[in-house]
Amino acid sequence: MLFNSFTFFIFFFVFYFLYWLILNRNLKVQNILLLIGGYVFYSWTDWRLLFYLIFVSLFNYLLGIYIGKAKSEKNKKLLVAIGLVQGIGGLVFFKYFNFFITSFNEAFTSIGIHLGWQTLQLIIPLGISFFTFRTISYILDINKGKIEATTDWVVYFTYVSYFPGLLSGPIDRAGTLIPQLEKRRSWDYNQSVNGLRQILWGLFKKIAIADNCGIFTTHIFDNFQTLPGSSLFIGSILFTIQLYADFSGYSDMAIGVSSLLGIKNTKNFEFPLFAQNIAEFWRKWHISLTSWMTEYVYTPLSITFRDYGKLGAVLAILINFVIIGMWHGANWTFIIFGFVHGCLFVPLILRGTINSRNKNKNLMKLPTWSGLFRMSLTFLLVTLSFILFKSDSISNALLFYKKIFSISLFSLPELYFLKTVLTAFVLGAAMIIVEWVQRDKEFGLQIDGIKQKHVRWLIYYTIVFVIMFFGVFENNQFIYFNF
Amino acid sequence: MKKFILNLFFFFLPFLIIIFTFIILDPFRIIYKYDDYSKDMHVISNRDFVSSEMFIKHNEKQQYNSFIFGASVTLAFRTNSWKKHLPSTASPYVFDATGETTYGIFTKVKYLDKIGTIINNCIIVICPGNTFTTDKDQNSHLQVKHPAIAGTSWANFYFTFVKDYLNPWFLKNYFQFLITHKYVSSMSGYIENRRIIYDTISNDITIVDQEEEIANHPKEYYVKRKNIFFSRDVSPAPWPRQLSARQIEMYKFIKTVFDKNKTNYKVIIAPMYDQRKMDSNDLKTVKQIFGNEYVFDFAGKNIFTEKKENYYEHQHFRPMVGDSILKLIYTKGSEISDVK
Repeated sequence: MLFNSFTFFIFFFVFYFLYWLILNRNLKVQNILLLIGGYVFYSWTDWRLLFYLIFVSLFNYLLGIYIGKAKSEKNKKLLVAIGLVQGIGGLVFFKYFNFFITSFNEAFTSIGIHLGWQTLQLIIPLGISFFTFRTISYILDINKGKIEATTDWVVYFTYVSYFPGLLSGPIDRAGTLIPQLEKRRSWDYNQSVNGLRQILWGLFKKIAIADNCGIFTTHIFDNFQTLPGSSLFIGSILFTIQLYADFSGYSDMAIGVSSLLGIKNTKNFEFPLFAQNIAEFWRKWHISLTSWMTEYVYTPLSITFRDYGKLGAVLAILINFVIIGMWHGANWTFIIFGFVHGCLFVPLILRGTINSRNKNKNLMKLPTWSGLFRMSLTFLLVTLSFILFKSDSISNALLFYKKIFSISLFSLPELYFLKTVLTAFVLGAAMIIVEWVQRDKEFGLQIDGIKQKHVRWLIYYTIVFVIMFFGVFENNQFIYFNF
Repeated sequence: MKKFILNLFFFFLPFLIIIFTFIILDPFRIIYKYDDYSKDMHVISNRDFVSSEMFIKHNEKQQYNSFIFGASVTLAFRTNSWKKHLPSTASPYVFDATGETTYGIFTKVKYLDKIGTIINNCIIVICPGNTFTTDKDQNSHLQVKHPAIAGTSWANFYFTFVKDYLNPWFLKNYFQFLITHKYVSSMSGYIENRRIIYDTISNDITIVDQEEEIANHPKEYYVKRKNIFFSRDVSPAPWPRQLSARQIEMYKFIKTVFDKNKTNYKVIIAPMYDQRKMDSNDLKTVKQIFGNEYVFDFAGKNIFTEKKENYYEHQHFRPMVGDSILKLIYTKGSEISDVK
C-alpha cells in the first residue's frame, strides 16, 4: 500500500478514528490495532508475504526472551549467533541466493566450466532489509544489556511490523520504539499538526518532484546509448534529486503518520544535499541505516582493526560500505557503489577530518564560496556514484560514464518531456531553497514559528495546489521499496 | 482534538464544497448514466469512458462483433461505410478514445476477450507519434481509461476528474458558461462549443458544425483556419523510435486474440497532416507482429496528406478520406505497398 494513494487515505482515516477515539483507553487493544493495521498494510498486495514476517517476529521474540534469561555467556553467544544466522541468513537467501547462483555460473563459465546451477523462483518479502535490521538490532541490544527483552508479544510483533516504517524505514531501534509502544500514548495537538505538515511535505517531494524527475530519468537511463553526454549529465543530476525527494519524501510521510499516532520515529534525513564532504553526506542521508551500520558493523570492525591505525580505519570503512552497497540490492553495481563511497572516505581518514562538522549556524546566510564549492563537489561525486545505483549492470554503468566523459558532454542536450524537466528543476530548486532556510528544523515544512494562521494556511494551500497541478499521479512505487 | 478536527474540516471545506458541486452537476458525465452522452454536452467528454459505457449498455442487444480502435481520427472511418466491405452479419462499433494509445487498445481487446466477445472484423488506426507514446494509463481526465475495461481503480479514476475539476481555469469557465449560457473564446479547451453527435448504437462521432460549415462555405472554412494548417517541411523527419518492449508484448497479445477469433483485421497507419512517417523500425515491428499484408501505411507525403481540404484541422482527416482508405484496403488489399 502506498502512502500517496487513495487506498491508504481511506485505510488511515478509519484507522486513526479507531486508534484515538475508540481504543485510546486500552493500551493493549490499541497495540493490537497497530499490529493488525501493520499486517493489513503489509499484506495488501500479497497476503503470502505475511508468513515470513510473522515467523521472523515469533522467532526473534522467543529468542530475545531466551537471551535475556541465559545464564552463561556461552549460551548467550550461541543464541545471538542463531538469531544472526536467521536474520542474515533469511536476508541473504531471499535477496542474494539467485544473485550468487548466477554469479557463480558466470564466473565458472568464463573459465570453461559449466555449472548449470538453477536459480529459484522466490517471492522476496517486501521490506525484508528493513524489518530484518530491526530484529537483528533487538537481539544484539539485549545481548549488550542496552535493553531488556520484552515479554509482551503484542508489543514485540508490533515493533517488527510497525507499518509507517515497515517498507522503507526509518529503521527504528527497539530502544526507541518499544518503550513508546509499552506506554500509553496521549494525543498531542502540536505533534499531530506537525505530523500532517510532514506528510504534506513528503507528498510534495514524492508526487511533485520525484515522480516528475522519474519521467525524464527513466527515459535517459533506458536510452542512454543514443543520447549525448549532456543529456545524460542532466539526467544524472535529476536522478539524484529524484532519489532524495523520493526517499526522504517517504521518510517524511512515515514519520508524519507516526506523529499522528503519537509515536516519535528516528529522523532519517537531515538535508544531505548541503553536505560538504562524503562523511557529512552519510551523517545526513538515510541516517537510520548509517547509524545502524556504524553501531553494529563499523565500530566493531574499527575495534578489531585498531592495531593497524589509519589502515585499519580504511579497511573498516570499506567493508562497512560494501555491506551498505549490498544491502541495497543483489547486483554488482550496488557492491561497486558501496566500495566507491568507502573509497571517498579515504582522504578524510588520512587527513583525520572524518568527523569535522560545518559550523555555519546563520541560517539565512548563503554558504561561503568555499562552502558552496565543497557542497557542489560532494553533490557531483554523489551524483556520479548514483549512476551505479541506477544502472542494471556494470557494463551499462561504464558505458554511461564513457558517454558523460566524452565530447558530447558539451553538446546541446536532447531534452525530451521538456515541460516535465522544467517542472522538476523549478520544484526541485524550490525544495532546496526551503530546506536551506529550514535546515535547523526537522523537515522543510516545520513552520510552527510562523504565528499568523492565514500565512500558514496560504502555504499549505499553495503546496496542495502545486501537488495537484504539477504532480504525477500514476501510482509510482517508492524506489526504496525495492530494497 | 476538537480544535484539530475542526481545523481540518475548515481546511478541507472549500474542497468539499467544490466536490459536492462536482457530484451534483456531474460536468464530465461520469457519475450518472446517460442514454445519449452527446445530448446537451457542454464539457469536453472523456471519449474512452463514453465509448466504454455505450458498449457495456448496448452490447447484449447489439452483439457487436466488428470494432474500430484508435484515437479520435477514427471519426473518419464511418461504420456505415465500413459495413459495405463486411459480411451482412457484421455489427460494427467504434471503440475509440481521445489520444488513444497502445495501452488503451490492448485493454479493450483484453476486455473483449475476457467477456467472450467474438471479434470477426477489426480496424486498428495507429497515429504516428501518438499511439506509441505510452504503455500505461494516463492521469488527465480526457484520457484516463474506464476502470471496468482497463481493470484499474475507480478511486483513482474519480480522483483524476476531481483533480481536473479543481483546476481554477476549468471552474471559472465552467461556472461562467453555466450561468451565462454563452460561449466565449477563452472557454476553448474546457467547454465544447461544437455540435457533436455520438451515434448511440455504433458510437460514430459526427461533428455537425464543421461538416455544415465546409458544405456551405468551403473556401471561407479553410481561410479562417489558415493558421492551424501549418506549412509542412519538404522532407518531414520521421518520428523517433517509440515502441517499447512492453508495447510490443501488448500488440502480440492482440494478435493472439485475433488469431483465436479468426479476425479479419486491418492495421492502418493514419495519414496525419504533418506528413511525418512512423519510425521504420517501429513499422517493421508492427508488420512483423500483424503481417505485412494486414498493415497499411498511409503516413508521409501522399495524395491524402497533400490536400488540406482532406482535413478538418491539422489533426483530423475527414470521412471522405476514411472512405477512400477503406475502399483501397478492402479491394486492393495487399497490392498496396506505399500510397503516393
